[in-house]
Amino acid sequence: MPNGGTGSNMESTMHQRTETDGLERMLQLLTIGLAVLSAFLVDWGRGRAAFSPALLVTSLTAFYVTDTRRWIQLPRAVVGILTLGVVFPMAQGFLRYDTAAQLTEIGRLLTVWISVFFFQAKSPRIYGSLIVLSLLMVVVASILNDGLVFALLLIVFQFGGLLSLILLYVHSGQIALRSRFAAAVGAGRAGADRASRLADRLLGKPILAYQEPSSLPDRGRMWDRGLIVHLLGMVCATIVFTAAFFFAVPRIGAGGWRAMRERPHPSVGLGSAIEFRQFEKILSNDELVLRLAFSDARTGAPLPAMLGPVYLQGRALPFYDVDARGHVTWRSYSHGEGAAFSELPRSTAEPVRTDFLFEPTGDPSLVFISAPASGPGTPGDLRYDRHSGRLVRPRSDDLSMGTPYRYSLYSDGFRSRSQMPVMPVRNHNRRTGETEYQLGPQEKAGLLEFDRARFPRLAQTARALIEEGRTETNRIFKGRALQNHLKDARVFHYTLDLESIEAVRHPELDPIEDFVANHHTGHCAYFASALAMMLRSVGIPARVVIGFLDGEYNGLGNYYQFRQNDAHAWVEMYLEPDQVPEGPTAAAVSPGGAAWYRLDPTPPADDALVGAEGARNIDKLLDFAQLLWKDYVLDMNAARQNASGIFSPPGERAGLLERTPFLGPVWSAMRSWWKERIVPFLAAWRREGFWNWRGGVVASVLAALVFALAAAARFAARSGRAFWSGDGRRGRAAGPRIEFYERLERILRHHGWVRRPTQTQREFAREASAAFHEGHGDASVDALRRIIDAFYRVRFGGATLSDTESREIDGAVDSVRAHVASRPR
Amino acid sequence: MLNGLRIPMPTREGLYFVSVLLFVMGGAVARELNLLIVLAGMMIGPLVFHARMVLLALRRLSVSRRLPRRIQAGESLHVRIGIANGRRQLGAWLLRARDRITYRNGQGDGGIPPTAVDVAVPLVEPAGETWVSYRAHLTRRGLYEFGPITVSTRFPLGLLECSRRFDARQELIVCPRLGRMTAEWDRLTQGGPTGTQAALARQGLTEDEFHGLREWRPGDSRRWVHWRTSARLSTLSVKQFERKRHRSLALLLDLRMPARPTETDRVRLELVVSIAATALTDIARQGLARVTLAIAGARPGCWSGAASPRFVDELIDRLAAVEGGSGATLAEAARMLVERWPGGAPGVVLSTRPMPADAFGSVNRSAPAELFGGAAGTAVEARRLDRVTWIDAGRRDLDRFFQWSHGPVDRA
Repeated sequence: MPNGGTGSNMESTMHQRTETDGLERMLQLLTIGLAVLSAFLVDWGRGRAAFSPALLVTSLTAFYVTDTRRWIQLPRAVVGILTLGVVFPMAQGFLRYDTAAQLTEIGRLLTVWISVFFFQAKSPRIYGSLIVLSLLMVVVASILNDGLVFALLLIVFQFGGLLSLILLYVHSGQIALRSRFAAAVGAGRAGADRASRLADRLLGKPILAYQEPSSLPDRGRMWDRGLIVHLLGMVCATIVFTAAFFFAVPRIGAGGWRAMRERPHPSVGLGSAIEFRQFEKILSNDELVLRLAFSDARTGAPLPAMLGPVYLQGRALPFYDVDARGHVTWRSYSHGEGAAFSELPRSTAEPVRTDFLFEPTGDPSLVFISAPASGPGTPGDLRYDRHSGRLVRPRSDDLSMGTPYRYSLYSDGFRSRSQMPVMPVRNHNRRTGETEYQLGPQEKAGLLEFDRARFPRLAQTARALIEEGRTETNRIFKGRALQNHLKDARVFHYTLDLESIEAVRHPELDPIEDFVANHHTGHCAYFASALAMMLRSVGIPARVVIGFLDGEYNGLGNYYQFRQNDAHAWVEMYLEPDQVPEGPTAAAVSPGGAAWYRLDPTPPADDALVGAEGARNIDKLLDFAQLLWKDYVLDMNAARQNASGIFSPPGERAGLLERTPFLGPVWSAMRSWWKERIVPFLAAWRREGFWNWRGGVVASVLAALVFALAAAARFAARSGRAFWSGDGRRGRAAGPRIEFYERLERILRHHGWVRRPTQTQREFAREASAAFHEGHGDASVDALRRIIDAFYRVRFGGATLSDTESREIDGAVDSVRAHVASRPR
Repeated sequence: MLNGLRIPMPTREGLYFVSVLLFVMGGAVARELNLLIVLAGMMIGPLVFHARMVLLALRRLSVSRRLPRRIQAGESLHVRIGIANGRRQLGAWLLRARDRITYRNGQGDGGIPPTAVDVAVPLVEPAGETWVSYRAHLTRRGLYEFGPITVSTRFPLGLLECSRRFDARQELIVCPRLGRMTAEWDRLTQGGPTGTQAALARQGLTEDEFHGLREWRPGDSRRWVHWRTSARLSTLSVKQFERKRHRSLALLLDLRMPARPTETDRVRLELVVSIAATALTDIARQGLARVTLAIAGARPGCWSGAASPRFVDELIDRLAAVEGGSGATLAEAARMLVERWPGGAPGVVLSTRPMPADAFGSVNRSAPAELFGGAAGTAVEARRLDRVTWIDAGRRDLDRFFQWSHGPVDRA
């Protein structure tokens, strides 16, 4: 009998216990790590740390007071009450929020649950629950995140999760072994206590069997190098599998990634007005705004880095304004609907295609190379607003969902990989449907607005410069002369330190007048404003343009990336048709058309920081990886699957169901029923709050669905088990395979006797026996009886035939075979 | 199923995991969330490789068991299970070998369900073999079948379980518990109820066994003098012989059980079987006698032969599996017994019931031949049956003949 109390057994059991403690300790720490990491991933997606610090503190506290010291161990009932208790208040708030905030609420709920579970005495069930809850946190994080770093952290989580599952499995196995041994010890003791009764000694439980923990071979050998290598291989193989799975899963819709960000969208400063103070903030922000790549529009060949600076236009701002506090604002025309823009003329010398990938933003404004044209890859719903000089995409829900936006535009503004300063005026008139190549008088008047009383020194300086340069007849020369004056680094200085400007400013003067006349210090918006005003002062229509300049070229991926601090302001000077210069730039302008001439008066920054080359290369590498991530993971949809040549996913065949003869009408009816009845019902329920009769209906339907799903899952699990193991319903009907009986049925079937489904084997045998009798096959009848008896003994009695019996039965089957073969068919 | 290998099935934890996976997949499809598809892939991947690993772990295993042929009821049994790994690269971690022990006491499973015992196997190294063991306590005599052995594993994640069944069937005979026979039993079986001790004729010298040498004493026969030793020691030494006693025995077990036996009935049956087994073991230890055993149980039977250890083992094997019957076979068993009665041997009936006739309550009183339903065909046979001693397992003074090793027999 197992006594469990002998010295060696106790010692070995204690030894096992110590080993298990070490294992369990590792499991505890790993579980904590998983929970904190999952909370961190949610925080990463939300853009602020809230859950992970809280969970870190809670879990470490629980580790000390619950797992190590065992001072506090919440009873299961208390944990149940607490976990249920927090659901209701959160559920009520949950319904009031939008999707992103709802996810935050789920994250909060999971954090609370995990925290509560940590304070419970740990059992394999609790560890399993903690792992599942952490996994659910990662599910939430997956909806909130979109970065490559998240994917890398996901791999870390996966490795930790797999390791914790392994440890949990080993730990549960140890516990099961100990409990079985303890049960055997208990049974042994109870048996020994009862053994004073002769009856118990002789007729007690006949079999008591158990494995002693001490009988296990050295468990330390289990964690050998082979196992670790195998597990690492499993993780690597999983990553490969995940990649294959990801690309192979057919996408249904046209949408790709929908990151539900809760954090504010980055501001790119492309709004209808821009304040100087706002510009300062933008220039201090290094958040990524967009990436673009140039290619030859004819051949599709990618173009390497451009030779000169690249200007991306965001918006044209013709109206200057200063408020009472001296804050300068440039405003654009009020937004129009805009119009589609035409394609490039076939005669274009060097058409360049630009592929943009715009980061999520709440603003529908996009950037473009001046005088954009459409072509393959240009979204059909893009509009160009000639008045505000901006490119817009239709405002939709996608914007609030943080969708990166892809679009392609075409331009004839490059010659020999250099962006030309002269760009044609090319506006599509929605009313007439024609393309206009000049500005109207009203527009030109707006570009000449200038208050000489506010800018006396500025106007004087401009006039002096013009006179000095003797460039009265040529606008381009005039503009360049003024530009060069402002660009003179000996006089004007670039700075983002507006406080230093405020310190020397004369508040009674217009800020631009003050800039030109006195302090000569400012950022690009100061320089552009000054030049625009100077041009206007000498009668040249001009406007300030904001956009981006000179993003960083990434040679790995052959693309440019622009950040917020690449935002820039410059000036566009209007050239009448007769003033458009001839030469290389003339081809871009239609005959008789006007043009814009770009002037950039901003001198280079004195304090421009140039990072170490190595660090920059690493940055480029990471950015390229991020781009690939976006390209091939986040934006993978049905169209891209098709375009990538993976296969034509079902999304491409959308509408197939509707076209099916019989299912089509049913499907359409169901869809319309859903849209017309259910969706409004749910919307009303959500509008009116949770606690009303609609909530009751929804809760009832959900509960019924849950029960139905649970029942279906249970049925499926049982059926599956039965099917594969042969022990379930299928097993009851057909039983385990009994070869000799199956052989008998085959023989009889071959000769026309087939057992009916409602017939038992014995009934079937009786029927066959009757036929045998008719043919005087008494020996075969006896053989048949012996076979059926043996079948019933084996099938239902669990008996096993000895070799002799098996031989006899085989002989009986042969006898039946011989008999039926001799019968006429 | 391939060679007993079953496809991996999800465990309870695996079902939870699959539920979360379905939830993730549902979310990914419903909202077109690519990162959720990535997450789903990262969940499916481990499942796939988990399934592959559990299948590989069991594919080239072989299992064996080491088991004695017979043990005595109540003895601790040490069962060793060996698992050999035929793969050269991949080990098999955290296996569970489930051995099945089925109690078959002659007429099937006796209504007792099989017992499964789980044995954990931490690691079977590539091209290696690991032996693990478990203890079993088999309290009842009978025939036990071991096997099949089902080896399963959930390694590494515990989400899927795959099992493989190895036939590996073996039988173990659990002999009846043994006690010890008392001197009273010896007197009963040597002397017989009517002075058979005296009837034992002295046999010739050649039938006695040489025991040793001793000094000559007055009265010793001169034929016993060992002259060579006497010459060497210069004193007369004689050979000493030990008389070989012929302890033949005719034993009849009357294993009558009512249609619905009570616990007392079953204990009496076990007592009878244990007494018979102990008596036979004693006889085998002393050797060179003949023994005839007749059993009137569920099936009548009679075996007779020289009481060699091998023959006695055979008898004890039969006793291990013997079942009680209605009592209708007593006459037939008695008839078989008298046919093979060893000459001059005393006869003893070990019975689960008292002798039916009131007049024969005492130990040394014989049972009447009529009791056996006319089994005696001749006068000699009738005389033999007349001298048979009837020992009832329910009698109060049973410990006069038989005791358990640890003390007197408890009354059933």
